[in-house]
Amino acid sequence: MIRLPQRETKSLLAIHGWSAVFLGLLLYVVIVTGVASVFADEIGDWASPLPTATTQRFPAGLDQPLQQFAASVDPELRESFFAFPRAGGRILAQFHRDEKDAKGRPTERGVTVDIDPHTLQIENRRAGDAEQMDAGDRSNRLADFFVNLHVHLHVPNPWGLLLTGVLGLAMMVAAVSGFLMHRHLLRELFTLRRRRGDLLSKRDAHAVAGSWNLLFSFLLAFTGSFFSFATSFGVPVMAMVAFNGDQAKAFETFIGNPPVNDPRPAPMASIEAMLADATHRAGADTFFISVEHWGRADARATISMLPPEGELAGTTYVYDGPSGAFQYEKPALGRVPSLGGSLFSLMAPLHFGNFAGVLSKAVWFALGFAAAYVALSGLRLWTQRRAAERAWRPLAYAVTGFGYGLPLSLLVASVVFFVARSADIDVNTAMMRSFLATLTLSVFGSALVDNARAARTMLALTGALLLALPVLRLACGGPTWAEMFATAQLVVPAIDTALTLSGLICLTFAWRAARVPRADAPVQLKEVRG
Amino acid sequence: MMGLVVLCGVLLSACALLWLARHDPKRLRVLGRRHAAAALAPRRLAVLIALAPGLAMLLRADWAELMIWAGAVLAIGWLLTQTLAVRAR
Repeated sequence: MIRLPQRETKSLLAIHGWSAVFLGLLLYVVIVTGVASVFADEIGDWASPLPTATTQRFPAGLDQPLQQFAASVDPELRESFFAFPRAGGRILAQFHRDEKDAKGRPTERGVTVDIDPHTLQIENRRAGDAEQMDAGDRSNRLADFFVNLHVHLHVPNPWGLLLTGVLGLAMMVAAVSGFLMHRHLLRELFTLRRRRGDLLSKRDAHAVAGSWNLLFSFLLAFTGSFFSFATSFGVPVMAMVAFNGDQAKAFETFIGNPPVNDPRPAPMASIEAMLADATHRAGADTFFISVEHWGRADARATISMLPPEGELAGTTYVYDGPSGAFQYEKPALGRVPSLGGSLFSLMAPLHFGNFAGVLSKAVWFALGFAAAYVALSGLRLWTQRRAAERAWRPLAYAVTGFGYGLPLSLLVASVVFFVARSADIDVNTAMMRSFLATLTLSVFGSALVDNARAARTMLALTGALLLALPVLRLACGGPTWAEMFATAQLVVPAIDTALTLSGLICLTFAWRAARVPRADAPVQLKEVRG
Repeated sequence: MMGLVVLCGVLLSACALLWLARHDPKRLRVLGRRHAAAALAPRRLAVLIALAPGLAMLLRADWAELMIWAGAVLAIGWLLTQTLAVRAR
């Protein structure tokens, strides 16, 4: 498509390959967990459904438990409040204040509760810093495990965010260099040679998947990098340069909603009335509520709406806390509509693909799956081309170990989630330990036994665990399909079915791989070793 | 309503992509069936048909529909190529 001199093409190939060699495995982890995170809400609903379906995101009568919760919280912690629906429709509500830890790093301290949307009872109260509040949340742990792995690889911030930001940049580099060096991108869009040499068919598989996925790979990498760098790098640097190091002040300016300081006590107006007004204005349901200075004369509520049908982004409204009066529609950045603000508001829907419910999520899931395939097939291609070189063997084992071991490890962590929650033990620690142990075993297992056999075994185990998860969900006290159909909660049967079908597909592939002898890279490695 | 519009657009584009894939000169040359390749004019028409739903959504500024259509068509294009390659064995 673009004719470059041979020397430039070689340089691009080196950039494309080496950026993948150094960061490809971590990038693969971020992509695979990102694919799972597309359905984070549904995974939460599936793992922790309530007996009755919720019909509204924010149920009628919510004012009473919110007022009760606010009254029970130390006024010092009522600096910031937010609430939004989570697993099964439970309303997660939190009061917190921003503080600095002993090392001067920004942190927060507060109280979080779940509100049952049917009984309006306050449940599962947990207090402390952000980590302690998160640890007490058992209904969302499974989805959060995937999301945290995707967002910062469970590495403490800001390093985790910086790392995933760099990985996003690497993905962009790979996409652009792949585009520039693929001379026949359009001409070979439908060409996938399988009958010729194995390396050629693998090269085709990587190039074809990359070509079809090029546009969205770039889009997802760009928006992902933006999110990672914006909070870990962008805001601190901007704060240092323009706000004398005051990050809170910098945030206030970007967000454009600085509170006027008036600490006199004043009762909070009805949140439900504000929600009703916002819904009427937007023609869409509420996504998220936040309140600054709850219970004070300067309290201000910000209500973010879901996008109306056919739109990518929703609107945000600001209300006066004590009177409940509508104040203004807030752009995504600052106080005045701007091109930057409009572009900023597109970042989230374009990255999460959640602007049209399950329909857009399904498409984003497929695109993420294709991106994971591109990353893994590229790494396998790189190592197989160097199969004869001893120095590349560790990477070849790591590629097989991560490629097949990562989905397996995520499934083991999911199994452990159900078991640990039933046994009432620390779910977070158990999930993380089982995940790391399985991943380590997968990588070393790929090096110790025949590479191809290791891959087949991991694929078969992945299939078996996919089939086991719906059964385990039931065995650990989850509702039956009959109960879910009776209450119109279709997410549980839908995910059970998807897991079962995926399990059968994995087992079929593992069985076929065992029966059909292939001139595969792992076999080549074995031959070289022999 | 949005789902139906997107579905119709994706179906139309997928049909055009299927025709394009089956009559793709490079793919057919690899299969040793060069003679079955379609001429340039019908292939251009098929490309136009494949892109038509997206263009309509673009002109109507239906951004959400456009993004879903584009994502779905690209994913289907990849799947089609994979499937047809398997058949070419």
